[in-house]
Amino acid sequence: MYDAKAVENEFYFQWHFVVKCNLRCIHCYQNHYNTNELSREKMLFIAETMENTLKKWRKIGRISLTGGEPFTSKSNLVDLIEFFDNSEYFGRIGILTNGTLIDDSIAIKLARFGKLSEIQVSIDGSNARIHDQIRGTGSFLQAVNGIKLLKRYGFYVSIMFTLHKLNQNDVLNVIDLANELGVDAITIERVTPMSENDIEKLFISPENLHEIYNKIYHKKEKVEKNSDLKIRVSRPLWTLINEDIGGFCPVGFTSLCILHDGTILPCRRLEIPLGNIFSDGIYKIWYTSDVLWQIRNKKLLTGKCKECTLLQNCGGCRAIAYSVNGSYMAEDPQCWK
Amino acid sequence: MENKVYALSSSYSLFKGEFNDIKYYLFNIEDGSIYRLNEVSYDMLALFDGKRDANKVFTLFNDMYQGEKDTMMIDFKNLLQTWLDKEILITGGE
Repeated sequence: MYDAKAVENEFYFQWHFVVKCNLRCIHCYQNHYNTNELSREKMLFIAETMENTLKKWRKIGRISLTGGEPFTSKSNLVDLIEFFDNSEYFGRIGILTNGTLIDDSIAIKLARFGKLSEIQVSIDGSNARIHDQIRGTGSFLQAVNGIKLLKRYGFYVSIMFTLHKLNQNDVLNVIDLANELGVDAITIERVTPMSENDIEKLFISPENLHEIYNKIYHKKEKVEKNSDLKIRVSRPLWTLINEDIGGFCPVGFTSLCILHDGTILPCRRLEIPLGNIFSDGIYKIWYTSDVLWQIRNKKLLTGKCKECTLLQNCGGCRAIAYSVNGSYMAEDPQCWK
Repeated sequence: MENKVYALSSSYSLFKGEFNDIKYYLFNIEDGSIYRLNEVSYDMLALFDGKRDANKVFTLFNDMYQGEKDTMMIDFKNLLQTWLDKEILITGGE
């Protein structure tokens, strides 16, 4: 059950425990897919390091297990979920997946974990034509079948829609699709362009984004009145649509990202290595990283963000600021204010 | 006071940051402990750089705060001993 007080005391880890993936999505943040998996001992070391940190900080952990594609490593996925399910320091477990490798056998194994509170499936279009041009031929049908199967087993399923130029006109249809599939929640996340080419091909202008966010918000008001689907609007920039929604990004405050080799990033999309969990541990990185201390200090934001009256509920996306403007303290380049 | 050189143990990290107010912290980067410091403690700890001896540190500290010298010396020695006992400061340096 959702407990607001517990959530306030949460610390979020996103662990990309495997690098292997069966898809090659055009906007993927990875640049290689064939590194050897860590040994079981090393994975356990990472899990225990997270657990010890939570114990010290008296925080409740929330973890998302992802990759690569986490279901390419089903045995490790199940073992890790078992570890976190048994840990008194973790409250909620999630899986972030492309949804294409889910079958009855794995669903049955996962159904026994009480703390597995959400399985997020990436859907980037409302039909195969749009989704598959981004994620690969056949992936739409597989992902939709994955969602249907997960719902049959009673999981809380969400959709992650990564918004960019190639699917910007389809976002309202994806909300309809989510509703038809009986999905519980949908998150619409702006793409972080990882190259000049990405900026040219994928980046949506602030004016267009404003228009799209307005449409989504009006759709949200209608949809949530008539169904149980939740359209999540807790990320930066949403507060420009309505001051009662949106939120400051938790990066630097209550979240960390760990890659398959132990590299720690502020966020998967803010690709600045802060250190490695094996050589540095978490404390050294969390307490001494200049990057994190700067991000924590809202006074150091520059551009429009610096003087913005909505700063407390927004702050822009630091990853997009970094990838487009070259500085993680720069203004969010998609802000239309 | 003995003419020894002290430095912050490698297990610790000092931090000063200007947010809405100025915050001072001492972090144990091995066991994760966090100590909120006041400005005086931070300034004193920061002076132990592994190069200056304790007498020099006291002189600089006394110049910074310009208190009554004997009283300051007593407080300084007490704090120094506490930090040595807790292995926050260690003997030696460059």
